[in-house]
Amino acid sequence: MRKFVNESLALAEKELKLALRFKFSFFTSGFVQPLLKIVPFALVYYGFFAFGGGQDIGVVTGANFFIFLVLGLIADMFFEMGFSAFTTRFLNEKYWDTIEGILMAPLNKISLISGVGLAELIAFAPALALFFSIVFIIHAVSINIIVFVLCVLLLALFISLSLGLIASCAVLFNENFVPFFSYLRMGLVFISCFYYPIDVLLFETMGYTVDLRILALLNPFYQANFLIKEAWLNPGFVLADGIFPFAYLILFALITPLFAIFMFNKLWRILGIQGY
Amino acid sequence: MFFLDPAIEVKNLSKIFRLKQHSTSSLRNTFFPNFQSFKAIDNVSFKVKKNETFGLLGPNGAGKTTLVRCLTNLLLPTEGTVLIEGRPVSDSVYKIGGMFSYSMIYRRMTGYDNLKFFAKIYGVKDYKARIAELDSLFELGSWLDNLVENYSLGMKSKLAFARALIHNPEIVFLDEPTLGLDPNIALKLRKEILKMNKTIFLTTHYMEEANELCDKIAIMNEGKIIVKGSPEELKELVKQNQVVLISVSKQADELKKILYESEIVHAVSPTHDGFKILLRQKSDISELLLILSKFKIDKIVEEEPKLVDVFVKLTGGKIEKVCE
Repeated sequence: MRKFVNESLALAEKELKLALRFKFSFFTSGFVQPLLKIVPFALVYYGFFAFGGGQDIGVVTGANFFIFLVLGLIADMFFEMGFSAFTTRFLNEKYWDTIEGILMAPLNKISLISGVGLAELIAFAPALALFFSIVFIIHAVSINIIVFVLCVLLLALFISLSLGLIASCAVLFNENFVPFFSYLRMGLVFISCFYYPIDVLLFETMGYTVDLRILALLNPFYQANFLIKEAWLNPGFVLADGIFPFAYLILFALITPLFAIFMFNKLWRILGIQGY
Repeated sequence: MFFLDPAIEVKNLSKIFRLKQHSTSSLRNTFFPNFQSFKAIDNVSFKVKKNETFGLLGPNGAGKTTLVRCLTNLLLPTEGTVLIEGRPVSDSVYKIGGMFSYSMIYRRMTGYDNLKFFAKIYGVKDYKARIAELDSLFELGSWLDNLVENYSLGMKSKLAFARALIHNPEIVFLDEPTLGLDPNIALKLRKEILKMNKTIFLTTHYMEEANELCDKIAIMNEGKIIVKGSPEELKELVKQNQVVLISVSKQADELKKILYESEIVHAVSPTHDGFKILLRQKSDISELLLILSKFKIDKIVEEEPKLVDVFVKLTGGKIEKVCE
């Protein structure tokens, strides 16, 4: 356990020191990039409710759309920081000629996931604190809800970091996988419904009814997003209401890191590091 | 570990890569390249004893780096096994340290932070004391507090060497440790290597370095180990050969052509003012003098064959291509 903690802290410290080499981009990326994501949605919702005469889109109303968006943004940030963390870092380390040092070392891969996750959390902490403060000021909740939401977010982060570890392994071998995994990430964002209600995934086109809601329900990031919004926005929420999605998340959080580590250990030594 | 287990044991190791054959002349080939198998290591076996310095020599592309990657758990061999003190290499990561030229150090961090990071992930208990020890060994001094991106090549190499030793490994893999270094720094690193009471696996292009440092040497060419033995044993292989250094100022190209075509010449390599000629037999010197008599030769010096001549003799085809 002590080894795991030491390794995770050492990795987090290293990642932060590397990131802080260029401080301006480090501090702006945490705030500016997430805000750029919600501004278009906020404008559309505002126009729809204020000028379009709309009453609601699923659970989104004129009164709650802003909190809905910011909570979705927080969930998306946890997804994004996990999914992209390894790919970006490992590609950098590949070109810096440092990846062998990590791969040769007796580093527990769970420590790798935790260390990188911790570094991401610290890096995004000021932005997350700001966004949490905004939703708390607009719609205060109990400490229990906050703890529950943080647990859900950490589980989602662990799942996305694990998926990122698999992606990074493929990318180290062949950079043709970079666009593949970025489209996969976009696809997951689409069926995670961070910025719109799940009802949007049921639509009619060219005379056919398309129902993509089942994909969203199978997606653990949708379940995380659903739990966060349900817990924060529904005053009558009790844990029993969300027990199935929560168990589903825990199951994924247990299976995906093990699968990711198995795949990573198998693949990188067989496939090698190519393209530099 | 059993007492008699060698430090490193490699059994029938092969590594085959599947390489893309790109052709710029055909668009079809760019998108649908042909694949070709390339055997980078071909059935290699050897043992390295505890506390022995083992040198691996070979021309570029011989398979040295691929072999070191297999030995350090960075690449899975296609066939064969690698044992470190009798156990699979994947179970022996604490026992090995590696320095691959001056890679594996973060240039955006200070030297101290680099050493601290690797000390922590290798579980070094008193990392401050260990860093201080390595600092005095490699004379890193105040540079430790500077970002590595500001280091000279020599300082980067010293830091990479210190990094490889941070967890005090029993076996150290050094892949071209003095590549590109000025002679003084290279000499200092060699002295440090000589002082270490460890098993060392060294790959190098520098024959004198191998001669000075290694107890055993293997020469690798086209994925195979073509010869191995002590430096003295290897020099025996060229005992019957003769090395002649000549200085020539005129008709050098014409002389080179004749020497290449001559049956008595095993290899020719250029020097700053002429050629170094490796004759097949010592007795061929008279025939060489006959060839040289047709040219205006400034100086002729006979020399005893060295380790580099063993290398030239065994991998000669490559050297001739370089000459041409």
